Amino acid sequence: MTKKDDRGYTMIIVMCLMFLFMALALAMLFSATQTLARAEREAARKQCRASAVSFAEWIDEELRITPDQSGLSYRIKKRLLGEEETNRWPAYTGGLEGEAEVAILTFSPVLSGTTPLKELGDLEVKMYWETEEGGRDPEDPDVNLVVTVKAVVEEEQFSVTTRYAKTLENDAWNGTWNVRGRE
Amino acid sequence: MKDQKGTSLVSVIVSFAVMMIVLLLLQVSIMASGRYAARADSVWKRAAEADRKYVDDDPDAEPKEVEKRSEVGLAMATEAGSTEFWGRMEKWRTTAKDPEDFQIYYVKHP
Repeated sequence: MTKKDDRGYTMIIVMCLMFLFMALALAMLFSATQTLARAEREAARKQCRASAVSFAEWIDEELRITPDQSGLSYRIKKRLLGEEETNRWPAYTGGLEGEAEVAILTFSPVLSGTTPLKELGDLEVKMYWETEEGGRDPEDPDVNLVVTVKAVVEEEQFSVTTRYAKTLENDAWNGTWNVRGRE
Repeated sequence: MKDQKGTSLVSVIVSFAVMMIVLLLLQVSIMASGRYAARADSVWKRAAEADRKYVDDDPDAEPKEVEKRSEVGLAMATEAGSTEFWGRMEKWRTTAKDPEDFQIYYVKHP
């Protein structure tokens, strides 16, 4: 083997080492980005949970306030026991076609360019009411209000469903709600 | 002979350049990996803190490292397009030494 041939082999070995280094560097970079992506997905999941649970807890507090002329408890009372019976919010029994469209109400925070809630993700609240016997009378003391809060952050989502019962004082509803259960 | 010397010089320069690029890429990768790993670690830590508050319901986890960001009136839009006022709420978040660090946001009743 001549000296010239030797130089050729050395060059091939050096090039192979370089490719090996390059492959190792890219593998390291790929592994780190995968770890970061997994951590960020987990963080988005936690943010979803924090948004949905804290919003549901806020609704708990708001529904404990005696209705006046504004606020969530006032809105719900007005919908349930509206002045005109024909405009009242119907019960959801789950057995009628097209019932869900009118009985399940959907709300979302009003969005603008500087919405103060954007860090919480996309929030959606669905609510309906029902009675344990499947009745339709909103003045029934056994009315249950069911509220689902859904938060979506970077394709991760989390929902909290809370069931509320009317707070009764001397067998009469005082306009507020207490938590019966959450899932 | 003169041609061979010229070719050798070019191959040495090209090899050196390639080696420099590879070393640079290696250095960038190591630095980026370190940053990504540190950020991932911070994200996991914050996520675990949020879990303590919202899943384990540990009240001691809350007051130390959170701050109130704002208090807002919450307006909600119905599917029909009307808007209604639901009440006032406070927006809070976990604190972080580095502004780019991961933070958890949540709301509270005032």
